[in-house]
This record gives sequence, C-alpha cells and structure tokens, in this order.
Amino acid sequence: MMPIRACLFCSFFLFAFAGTSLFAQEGEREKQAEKGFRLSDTAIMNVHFTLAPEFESNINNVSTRSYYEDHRDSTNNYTHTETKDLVLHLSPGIRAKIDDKFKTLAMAFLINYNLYTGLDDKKSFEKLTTLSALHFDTDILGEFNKDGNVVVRALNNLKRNSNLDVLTIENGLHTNLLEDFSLSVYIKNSEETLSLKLSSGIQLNYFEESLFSPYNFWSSRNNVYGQWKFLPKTAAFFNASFTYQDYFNADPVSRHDQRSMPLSVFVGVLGQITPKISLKLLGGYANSFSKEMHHDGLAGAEFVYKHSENTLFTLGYLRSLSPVAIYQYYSMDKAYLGFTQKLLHSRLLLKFDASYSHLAYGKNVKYPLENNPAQTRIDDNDTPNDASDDITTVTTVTQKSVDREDHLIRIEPMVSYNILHWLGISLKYSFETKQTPFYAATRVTRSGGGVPPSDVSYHLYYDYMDHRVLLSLAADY
Amino acid sequence: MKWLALTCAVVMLMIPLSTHAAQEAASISIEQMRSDIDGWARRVNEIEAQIQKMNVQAVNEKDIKWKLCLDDILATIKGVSASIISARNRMDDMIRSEKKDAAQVQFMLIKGLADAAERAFTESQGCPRQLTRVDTSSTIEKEEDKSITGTRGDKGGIGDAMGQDFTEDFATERDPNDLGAEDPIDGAGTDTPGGPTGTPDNTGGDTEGPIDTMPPFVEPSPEK
Repeated sequence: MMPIRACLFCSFFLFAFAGTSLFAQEGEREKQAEKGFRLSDTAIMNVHFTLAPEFESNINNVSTRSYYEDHRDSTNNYTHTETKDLVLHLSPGIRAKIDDKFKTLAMAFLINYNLYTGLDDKKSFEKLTTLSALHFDTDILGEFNKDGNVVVRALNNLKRNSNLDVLTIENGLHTNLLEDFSLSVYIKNSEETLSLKLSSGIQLNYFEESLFSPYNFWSSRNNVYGQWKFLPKTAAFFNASFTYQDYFNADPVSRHDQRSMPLSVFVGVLGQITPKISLKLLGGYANSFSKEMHHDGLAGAEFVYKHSENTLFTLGYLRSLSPVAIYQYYSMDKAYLGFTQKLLHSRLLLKFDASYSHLAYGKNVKYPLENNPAQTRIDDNDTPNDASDDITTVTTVTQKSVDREDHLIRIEPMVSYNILHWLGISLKYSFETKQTPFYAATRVTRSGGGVPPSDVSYHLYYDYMDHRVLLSLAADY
Repeated sequence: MKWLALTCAVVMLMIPLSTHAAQEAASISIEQMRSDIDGWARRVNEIEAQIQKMNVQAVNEKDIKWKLCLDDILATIKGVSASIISARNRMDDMIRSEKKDAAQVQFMLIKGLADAAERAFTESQGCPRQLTRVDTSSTIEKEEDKSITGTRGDKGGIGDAMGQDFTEDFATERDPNDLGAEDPIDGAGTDTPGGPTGTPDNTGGDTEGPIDTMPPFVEPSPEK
C-alpha cells in the first residue's frame, strides 16, 4: 500500500512541478538576466540548494586485492571488498555581494551534508566521522580600487570536506579542514593590455583523524604573473611560482626531508586564433627543492573549438610538478578532452569529459632504501607502571616505494536540463579507476605483557575502480 | 572661373543675411547689445566649464574615444570664447569712435559665435563613448566593454574564448560558492599559483577530486 501511495505522491508532485514550470517558462525567458534578491543598488543576495542522491559502487576506493592475514589463525583471514552505498547530499547555501565601480565585498557560505545510508554495509552509516558528515565551504572576498590601475584583492576560503583538493593520504574519504588565505595586487595600464599580478597566500590543512595527523601541513604560496594582451582575446603570459610546504606534525626524524618546495616558471600564449579556435600553449621549468633537488619540465597545450555558443570541444595536455608528503613531489602528465553541447535553446545540456593522468613520484623519504627491502621497527613500550610494560611490538614494513607511478582514468558523461533559469536537474555517471604497482605489506607481531601473542599482516594495494551515478536537483537564485 | 562663381554665390547669399541681421541689430540699443553680449559670454563660459568637466570624467574613466571627441569640441569652445572677448573689445572701440554700424556687425558676429558654442555643446552630448548607459538617476555611468576587458563571466575576452563558464547558465553546473567577482586579469586561470593548469571549468582545469591527488603509503594502525 505504501509504495502505491508513494508513487501517487511522486506523480502528483512531478505533475504539479512540470505544470508550474511550463506556465513559468515564458516569463522566465524574459527574466534570464535577473537572479538573486537585490538588497540595494549595489547589494545582491543569492541562495542555493542542491538535493542529490548518489549511488557509489566503492565508497572507500578499496582494492579487492588487499587482504588481512592472521599467521596464527587462518580462519580470521579476509579479503577487502568494495562497499557500495547510496549517499544523500543536501547542500543549502547563500551568497551576498556589495559591488560597485570601486570595490567588491562578497561572501559565500555553503553547507553540505552527506548522509551515507548504509545500503550495503550498515557500518558506513554508523561511521559518522569519516563518512556521513556535515561539511561546509565559506568564502570571503574583498576587492578594492577596482577602477584604478592598481587593484587589491583579498580572498579567504575555509572549508571542511572529505574530497581533498590537493592531497589524499589514503584511498577513501578523510575529513579535513582547509584554510586558505591569499592577497593579490593587480597592476594594469589604462588600456588593460599589460597586467601584472603579485600574489601571496597561506594554506593550512588539518586532518581530523589522528591517524593522518602526520600529513597536516601549512604552505606558503607565492606567485608572479604577467600578461600582455596584444589582441582583445589573445595574450602572451609568464608565471613564476614558489611554494613552501611543511608537514608540521610529521615524525621529527623525517619532517625536514618531507618539506616540499617546488618552483615553477613558465611562459606561453593563450586565446583566440580564429573566431572558432582558441589555443593555449605553454612551456617552462620546474624544480623541487626538497631533500633531493629534482629538475623537471612544464608543458601545456589546450585546443578549444567553439563552433557556436552551443558547442564546445576541448582537448588538452598538461605536465606539472606538485608538492606531496613522503615523496617530496610528484610530476603529472595529464591528457583530457571534453565535449559540451547545448540544445533546446540552452535548456538541455549534454556533456562528456574524459581524462588520463600519469603520476610519477619522487623518492620515498620515509622508506628510502632501494630494492624494496623489508624494514623493521621494534616498539618496546617501556613506560613505567604501564600495564603494557612488557609488550614488544615488531612492525615489519615491505613496500614498493621506489619509482612509484600511478595511472588514473576518469570518464564522465552527463545530461542536464534547466527547468527554469535558476532551477535544474542533472544526471551524471562517473567512472574512475587507478592502476598502480605500488603496494605495502605490514606485518605486526606482539608478544609479552601477559596478552595473547599475535602475528598478523596487512597487505594493501592501491588500485581501485569506482562507479558513481549522481542525480541532482539544483536551485540557484 | 570656378572660384569667381563660388565667391559670387556666397556674396549673393550673405547680402540678404547681413541685411536682415543689420536690420535686427539696428533696432537694439547699445546697452541692450552689451547686456546680450555679457549673457552670451557667461553662457559660453558655462559651456566651456561643463565640457572641461566631462573631459576630466573621460580621463578618469579611461574612455579614450570620448576624450578625443571632447578635446576637439573643447578646443572649438576655447576659440569661440577668445573670439567673443576679441569681438567685444572691437565693438567697444567702434562704439567709442561712434561707428555704430560697424559695432552692430561685431555684435552679430558675437551672436553667431554664441550660437556656434551652443551647437558645439549639443554636439558634445552626442560624443561616442565605449558602451554607455543612462540610469534612472540620470547619471552617466560607463560600462566596461567586455570584449576588451574580458571580464569573467561575460561574453568576450580570453576566458570566454577558452570556454570558461561555458555552462554557467545551467543551474546544476553553477558553482554555489562562485562570488561572481570579475577577474581583473582575464587570464583564464593561467594566473593560478603553482604549476600550469587547464582552463577552469574544462576537464583539465578540474583539480578537485581524486584525479589529481595521490595516496602515499600509510601504515595501518594495528588497532584499527
């Protein structure tokens, strides 16, 4: 009985919704440019809400080759399995802006609640700290002297999420806080053909799980960018950037070696070549001033074909160098393509994106020995008056840590429909896989202290496959 | 011959005009003429001040097109103003030497100059500008020419050419935290700190998510 009622309710809802949207369409077309609540001549406020159920086939991105081995009792052995789940994303948000000829003051606040429903494994519903969580994303922007030749911009972003932008410690989701502040000065000539941007910023990344605290970092990012716009839509540019990244909670022994300081310098041209074709070409040099100095090249090529205001095709290649924990740096070669088509007077959107990335890591500073030998660490807890006084733990780590290379592939087709200009619905499928020869095995033996002796091994692989289907209903007014 | 014919034509045209003007001027007293000239001179000064003000505004707004047009008109007005002063002095000389007819000619000349100043002022209001609009408070506000400055999110500019924000008119594709601030440099994301990136909103510019991330080895906790 309940399913019938639910179907009736859904049918009524959809019917009413479609009817309302049809009546509103004509009026809405005339109001395409109007969005947001105007508070005054210069102040406007926008609201946002997304409801998005998502099915994911491998929520922790585990490898099915990973397994646990108990050397004393083989009945405890198990192999890792993929956990699928249905995740409900609820995202209300608000933006406000005061904008005039001289300044812009703006803020945005977005809440994102991800509810893992425990479809396959009830534990995914119960592990609130790592899976279901309340995330947020805030931005505060100040831009001053906009009509002058020297523009100053300050931007602060604070967010809590589990979908890391620059660093993933482990496959899966790990909640972190990221604070990012940057101050930029733009210097332009009156014709705005010559521009110089000086920017400096500080990032602080904090993992909430203590297991990952050694990977907390702060970084200073400094950048000089110059641009000469020799045609209205075409420019030559140069970019010089230096980052200092320190893992302040790392093991004191390896903290100094983990410090990552990449320098990047590149020049290039970008912009329109013909009315339909645009290009970006760049090349440069990078160096990682870490424990070891690593010279590298930077490159980028992007081809954009814009057939009309409705069709866009992009094909590109990138090579970059970035800081990372343990390995000091990684260089990335990435090839990508995208195709976007708008139909029905820009109401229907068809999109296809695909990319392949090859990541090559620097040397592991924590386990630096060649030929992957087993490295043993003995922890003899010798704390007075401790019940575990006599426990001896021997940890033996074996891992392929030299010449690590990962391959990542992502494919994303998507369809989106604008019901109203501020209300839309989309369906996206995402396939993602990582292939890597990297693995790690850790054998832990315990004895003494009056506790039962144990001898177990963790065999971890880092390749995975993940399928996602995301249905989104988004309102942005 | 051609020049002779042209001169004759101009003379033929000017004779009735001069006659009409002289008849008009003859009916005005000297005091009235001086009073009228003072009024015209004040008006020309006002016009000059207003155009000068607009010229300063054009400089502030870096509207070269507008400024070039105003410069020409301002030069004309200044010339007119100087000519009025000169003609006024000549007229006074004529009056003192009791040559009223000649004084009336100077008076008519000043009137013509004042009319020319009014026409120039009207012309200045129609000076072409980079996209202009007049809002409800009747203040003239310059809009940025997006095709030149390439303000992000608007048509024109490098970001637009590179396909940035191509799908922003779709509600599901909008970044809910996009503050909609202008990109002062219009660099389509190339001004980002760190290494090179693809154009934002394109596949290569998407740095979020695991595609650009790495998983270094983490020792599993025996207790876990």
